[in-house]
Amino acid sequence: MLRACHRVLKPGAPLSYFVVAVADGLSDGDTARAVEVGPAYVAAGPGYLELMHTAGFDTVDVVDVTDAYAVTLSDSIGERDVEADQLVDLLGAADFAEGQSSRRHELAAVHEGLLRRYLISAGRR
Amino acid sequence: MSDETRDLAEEFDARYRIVGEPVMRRIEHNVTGSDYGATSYTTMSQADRLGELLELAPGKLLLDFGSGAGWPGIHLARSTGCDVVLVDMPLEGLRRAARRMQDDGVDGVVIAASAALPPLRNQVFDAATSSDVLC
Repeated sequence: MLRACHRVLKPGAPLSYFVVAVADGLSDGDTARAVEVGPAYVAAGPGYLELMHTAGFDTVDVVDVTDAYAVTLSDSIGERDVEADQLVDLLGAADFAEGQSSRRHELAAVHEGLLRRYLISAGRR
Repeated sequence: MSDETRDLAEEFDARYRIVGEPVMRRIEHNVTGSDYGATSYTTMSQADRLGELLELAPGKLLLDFGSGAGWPGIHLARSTGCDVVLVDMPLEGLRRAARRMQDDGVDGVVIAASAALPPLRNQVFDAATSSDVLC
C-alpha cells in the first residue's frame, strides 16, 4: 500500500495517517497476543518506518497518540454499555457480548503496552 | 483477492450495513464526534489535524485509502474545500460514502479497489491519508 501511495502522489506531496501497531520490543508471545486482540489491521513493530523509507518517503514524523486511542476505545465500550438494550436488539445478544469482550481485550492490551497508535507523517521523495 | 482480504471486506460490509442505525450514530457521535459511519479510532480533532498536516485547500486532490463510509476523507473535503478520491473494498461502505458526498455537496469519487493495486494514474494526488488501515 505504501508503494501504491508513493506511485500516485506528486513529488513532495504529504502523506499523513493513523495506524495501530504492535509495540516495539515485545516477546514472541506478547506480539502474538497483540496481533490477536488488536484491530483488523495492525502494523508490525519497528520495521514499519524502515518500510516507509524503502517505499520512497522522507522526513518521517511519528506522534504517539496511544493515550487518545485508549480513551476512544474506553468511550466506545462505555457508550455501548449504555446502549446495551438497543444493541442487543440490533445485533443479537451473542454478537453484542462478543464485540464488547473483544474491545475490552484490546483495551487491556493497550494498557499493558502491547498496542500503540501513531500519527505518521511523511513527504514523498 | 486473498481469502483473508475477502473475509475482511465481508466483515466490514456487515459493519457498514448497520452504521446508519440511530443507536450506532449516537455511539459514533459521542465517541469520535463523527457521524459518517466511521470504523476507525480517528476523532474529529484528529481528523482536523490531518487537514492541517496535509495542507488541504481548494484545488487540491486528496486520496483517502481504506476510506470506508468516508471518514475522514469526506469531512476533510467539506471542511477544506479540496476534492477527494475514496478507495476501499467493502461495497456497502462505498455506497454510504457516495450518498454522503452527494448530501454534503462534496466533489469526489469512490473507487472499489484494493489499496495495493488501485486503478489510479501516477503522480496525480496532492496529499494522501488513511485511518487505521494502511500497513
